[in-house]
Amino acid sequence: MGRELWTMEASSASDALRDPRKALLDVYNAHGESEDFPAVVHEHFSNLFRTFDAFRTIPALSPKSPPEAHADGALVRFRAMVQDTSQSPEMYMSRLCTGAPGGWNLESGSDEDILGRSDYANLRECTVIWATSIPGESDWVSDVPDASGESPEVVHRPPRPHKFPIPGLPHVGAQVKIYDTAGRDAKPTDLMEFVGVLHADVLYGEHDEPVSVPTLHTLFSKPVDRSVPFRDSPSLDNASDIRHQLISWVADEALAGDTNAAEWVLLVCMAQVQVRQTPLLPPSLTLSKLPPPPALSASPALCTVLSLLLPQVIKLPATLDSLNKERYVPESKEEDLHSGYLQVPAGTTVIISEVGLQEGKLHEKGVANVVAAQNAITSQTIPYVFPFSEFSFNTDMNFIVMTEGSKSAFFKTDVIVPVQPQSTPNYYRSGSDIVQSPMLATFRQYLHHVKNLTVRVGEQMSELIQSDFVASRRQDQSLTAEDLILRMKIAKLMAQSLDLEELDAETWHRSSALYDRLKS
Amino acid sequence: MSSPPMEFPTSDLDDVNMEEGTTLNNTVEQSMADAPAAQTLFLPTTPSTAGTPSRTQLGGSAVAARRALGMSTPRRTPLFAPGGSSSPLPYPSSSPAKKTPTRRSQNVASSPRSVADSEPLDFPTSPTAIATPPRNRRGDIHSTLAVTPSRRRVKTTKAGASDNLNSDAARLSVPTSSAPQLSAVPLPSEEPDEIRAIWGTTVNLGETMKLFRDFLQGFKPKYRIAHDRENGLRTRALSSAAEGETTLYEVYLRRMRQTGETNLNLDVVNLLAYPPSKKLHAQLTKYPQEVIPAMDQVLKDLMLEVAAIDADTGAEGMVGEEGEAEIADIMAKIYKVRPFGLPAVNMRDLNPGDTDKLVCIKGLVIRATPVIPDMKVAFFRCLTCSHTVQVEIDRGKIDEPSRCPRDVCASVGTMSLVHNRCEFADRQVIRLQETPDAVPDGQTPHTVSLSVYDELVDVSKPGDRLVVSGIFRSVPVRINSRTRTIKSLFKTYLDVVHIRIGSEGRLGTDKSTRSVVTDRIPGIGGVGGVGEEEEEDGGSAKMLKTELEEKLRELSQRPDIYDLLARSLAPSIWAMDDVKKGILLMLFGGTNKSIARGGGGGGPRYRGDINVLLVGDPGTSKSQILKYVHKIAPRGVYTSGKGSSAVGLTAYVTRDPDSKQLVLESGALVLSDGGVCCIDEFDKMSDATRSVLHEVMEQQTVSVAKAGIITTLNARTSILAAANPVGSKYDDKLPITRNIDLPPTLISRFDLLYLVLDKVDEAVDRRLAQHLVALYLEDAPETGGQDILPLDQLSAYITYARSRIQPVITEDASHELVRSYVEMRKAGEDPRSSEKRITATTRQLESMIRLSEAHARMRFSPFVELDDVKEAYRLMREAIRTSAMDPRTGKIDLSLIDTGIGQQQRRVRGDMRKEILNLLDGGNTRGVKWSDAMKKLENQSSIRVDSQEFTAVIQDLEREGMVKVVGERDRRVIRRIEGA
Repeated sequence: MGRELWTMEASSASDALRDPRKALLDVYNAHGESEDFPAVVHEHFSNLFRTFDAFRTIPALSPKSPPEAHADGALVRFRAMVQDTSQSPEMYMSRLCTGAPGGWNLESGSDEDILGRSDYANLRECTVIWATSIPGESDWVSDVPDASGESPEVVHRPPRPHKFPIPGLPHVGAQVKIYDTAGRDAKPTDLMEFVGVLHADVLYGEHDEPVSVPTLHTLFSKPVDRSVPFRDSPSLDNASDIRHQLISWVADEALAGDTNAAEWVLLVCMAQVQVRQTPLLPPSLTLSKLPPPPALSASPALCTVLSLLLPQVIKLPATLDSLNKERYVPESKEEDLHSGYLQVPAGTTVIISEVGLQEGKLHEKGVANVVAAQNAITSQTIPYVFPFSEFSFNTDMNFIVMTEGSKSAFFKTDVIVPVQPQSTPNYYRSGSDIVQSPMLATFRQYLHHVKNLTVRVGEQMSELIQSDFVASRRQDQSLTAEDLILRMKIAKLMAQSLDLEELDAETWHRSSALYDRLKS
Repeated sequence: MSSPPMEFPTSDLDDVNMEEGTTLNNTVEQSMADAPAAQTLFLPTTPSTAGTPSRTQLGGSAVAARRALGMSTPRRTPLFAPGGSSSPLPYPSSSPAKKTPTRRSQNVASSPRSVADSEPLDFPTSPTAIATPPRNRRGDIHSTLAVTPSRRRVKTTKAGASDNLNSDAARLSVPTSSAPQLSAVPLPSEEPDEIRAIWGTTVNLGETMKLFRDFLQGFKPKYRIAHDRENGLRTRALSSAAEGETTLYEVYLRRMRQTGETNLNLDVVNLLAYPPSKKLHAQLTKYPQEVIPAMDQVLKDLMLEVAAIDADTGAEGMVGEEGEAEIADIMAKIYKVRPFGLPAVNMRDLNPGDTDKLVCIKGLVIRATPVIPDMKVAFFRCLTCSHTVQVEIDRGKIDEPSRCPRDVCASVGTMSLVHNRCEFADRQVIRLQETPDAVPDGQTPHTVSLSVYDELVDVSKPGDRLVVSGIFRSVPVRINSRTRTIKSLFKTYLDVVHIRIGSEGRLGTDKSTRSVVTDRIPGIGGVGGVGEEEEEDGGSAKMLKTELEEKLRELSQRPDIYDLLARSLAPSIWAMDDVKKGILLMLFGGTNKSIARGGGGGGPRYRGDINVLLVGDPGTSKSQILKYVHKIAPRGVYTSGKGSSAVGLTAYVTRDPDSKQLVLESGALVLSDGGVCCIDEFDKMSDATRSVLHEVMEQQTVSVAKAGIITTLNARTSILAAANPVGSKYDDKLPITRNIDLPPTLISRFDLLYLVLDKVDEAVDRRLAQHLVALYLEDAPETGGQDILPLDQLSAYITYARSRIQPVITEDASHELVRSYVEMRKAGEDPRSSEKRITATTRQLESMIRLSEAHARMRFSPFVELDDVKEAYRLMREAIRTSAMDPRTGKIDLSLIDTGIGQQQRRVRGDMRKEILNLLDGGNTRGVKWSDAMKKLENQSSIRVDSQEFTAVIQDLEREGMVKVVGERDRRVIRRIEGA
């Protein structure tokens, strides 16, 4: 019986894949009378593709398989970042006078007259948002079976490139219509998996010239689950061992064997925003004293190495040229929210690469960009610029600044670590030169695991920390509250990296030693 | 007073009569205007909940055609059996198709005659069009529902006075070319109104009108009071029992007549409060499209009635000729009821169910188009037979007749638009964005379009916060994209019926700063509704307000109110009590004074705005304070000096994407006119920007001369600025002017200057460490747990004080002011030396006055008393002590701030100058090396020689021609000029 049900489901899932329109009509015929039909649709289809395997069978909309690669009206899933929610909801006729359903582009073929004669009481609302593929998402995260054999013949040209945070990068952007509005509202930079019917549709809004854009009529959606790649992996043991190997691998591949710097990189990357009101935010790191890049276009190997380990990594070029020209924060122009580098989802590691910086003038826009990035580093908020008002959006990013000088020319970070090459400097080796560790999968799982750990601090430990602070202040007047906060943050991260649930004295001293090494 | 021709029309007049006499008569025109409206009423075009779709157009054009033919109002009676007053109309939406043809055939039947009537070159309707008395067509409600007066009323009122379709008025005002025709033809009154119902409902329009009439005649303030009591609201005490018994709206009507106002603001809560009209409230919100025009009609009828009664009783200004002129005037006017007072909903919550209902939303104007001439009636002429047709706008669209409606002609595609014969109205499209406080956390703001019409055009400007009542529309728009599919979308917007500027939760704008431009904003409210007792708050929240007022008054009586308010300001920030107090007083502000009898109309204006500058070490929560103030301040604008250019702060000229015209967009300073402008990173802004601030802080205006636009904008704003010291850490050893990279002239324009310093104190550190560790343990934010006012109450308190309290300085206080000022100046005297430092200038006196006034306001006191001045003096002293203290002498010296050079410094320079000259005179003629000179002075002097001071002195000497500096940088040599 159970098996039968399963096969039935599997077959209707494949039916839905083959002809989503018909599947939708079937649901309508069965439940069309329902008060809240969109909820029924959501329920039905999310059940249909409930299992991981069923879900994987849905073709993905991604830069590798852009909208052109899918037939009009195909069922696709779109792992996306919500970029713009400022669009007003759209009205659609949920039931035509012919009795046929509306929404999900079902009404598109019908006569205009039919639409006009339909009962206006059947107008319903759907949320219209703009979503883009996830900026800076690493390749390994993708659960799509590698389709590298057939690369798309035509290069996909996204219709509204200004809506993607990172200019010039291949991506997919689509208008997403969400019919089941009862659930949680999508917020900018949310990561969602949208499953729906793909059409080319008119961009909704106050535009003189109607623009046709890929439009996903959502059947159901769910938040992106970052633990998916590790679902079959066994749980980790011996974290400290993995930690050690990870540090030495990162040091060897990107930091010329400098394990100290690698340890800092690791600690900074696993931090998350803890409390916002009294800011307990992730510490930021500057890697200083890097050699100048061999060529202007060379990018630090650390970017590549980290994107092998972390789900989202972006590189923010902080050269004069890009500071003066690029947009760092989202800005609403003529009621269209243009994206900026920093409009990236929570959990993104941002590598601000200042290497190759030349003398020159920072213009007004550049100054604004520097201010915005510094704000993001210190307060983990990104301003969205709207006419007459600026909205501050919370974010949760990890920042690593890379600079040639002894400190960054633009940005102030909590920690500055000068790199000390132990071997031939390889800071700019190209991606192909990087030796992929056989442990990569374990490293990823380890990082995912420790990032989401919470560490408690016991009564005794807090006593110890206090007396430690008072004692060290007696010796060094220049110590400030900031120092204490930073020390505590680092100690907590250290405990996290060792897979500890509670901070112990040993870890405290270890992290203090790490911190003191910097000061000296 | 009655006009003879109005001897009264019976409804029985038949069409023949009409057709013969009225081709050029405006009464017909009027009744014609009624026609389409009547159709919206009668034609079961769409369910009224969902709005009238474009199909009405058919009917509309048919009617227009009929009008062009000189026909009378269509006979409606046959459509529905009389007497079926409130039975639900059993109609399927297919009926219009059936109905229209019948009417058309009527037209056609009469058309030959009308053609005969008209000379081909002179369009038959032209005189009518010119002579039209204003029809009750309002832009916000497209399909005009002008309801002809009912018979019942006609009988009860004086002849003529009661009719809105007054030919008399037309004759007086607009002589037409067709003079002979002017002997008015009686107007056909329609079938009894009992049968009028809003389609698809049981709402009987006749009854609705009767209800509204009763309401206007019967509503008394006592009903509202009773209603509010029932709802547990506090009510305002009436000054006398009689006040509760006045028929409020009759008073308003009279006032409308006297002031010539045509808009009546109607607080819909009053409808609820008056027992007989309760039903009306629901009808109004559900079917505004039909009910509002009906109300307009009733209003006009009543205006006439009241005028007639007054004329009869011989009220002042209504006797004889005067009265008749007045009544004629009323006839010629369009009266509009503007309902408001519905609870405001978030614009995100507007949904399809609200379509064509009356809704109320709040928001921030981000863009407004220039006035757009909006075609109300299109005039078409057949190129073949010169037959003319008028087509009314319907839902923003005009359907061009595809063929000539005359059967004889019936040519296809010959109808061409005659522009100068079309009718236009003022229209403006406003984009309204959600205010930051209404946007759910982590969401981007939504925007809706508003269409405003007629009087409401140009009432609001970008940056204003509005509370808008309007009819929510969903209109299908066909989009013909480049894709294969043709897609119909529904666009939504609001047809605005009422605008109120400023919303609760923020400080009220200071009336005295916004006199010229915005005083007309409450004015559009017309008379009534926004009653005299509640001028700026709108009546909806009236009783709520009284309750709040009581509470606020109670609060103000607390002895510790000053501390309580200061504590409630940015509660998350520790300590900094005096800074908070200073900012608090800034929020209250002093009173603006203008010398009324000054030259040039009004004379100079003295600013009451208090400017505050915070200077301090980084990380001392200055920005937090600024952000907080911005949140509660009126028209508060927050900007960072680092990111903003001069244009960002002032105004700039851009091309409007809609109209492609150059428009002036205001920057932060202009936007915060009448409010508070918070500028962070004050020291980091460019000199150009800063120079603009000079003008703003003294003249309180911004001058713009760009792209051919030269103008001066008002920027009467308090400025709260924060700056970091030079080198980011404050140097105690240096005077403030050396610590802040700001010109002294600008610094001196701040009333209060606070130094927010991060002092090292071990005990504090220990407490801090404990706190931080504890925080870390809890992983939860600090709650404070003190007795503080919530943000909205604080905001309400300040709003109230700012708008209501205008304290006057008492005798005592003025003496104290004088005394304090003298004392402050005296503080500059040093008995040990003859030198005189300047400690207080008149600027400080002015500041003190403003601060005392603000303090009195804070106490809700109508008078500035001794204690106010004392506190102001204390605050000033505190601020001066930190900011104007010369670190080298420990004495207060305001010239430090005013000129940048303190007395002490000046003395040092004098000494140094003497020594340098000595040194040079003693040296050889080749001069003294720069560094040597420094060294020698250093050796002589008991204090360190500041290289900057040294440079300044040398520069002075060079300027005077005493010395000459040759060489560059390290090789500079100072030479004494001989003979000088």
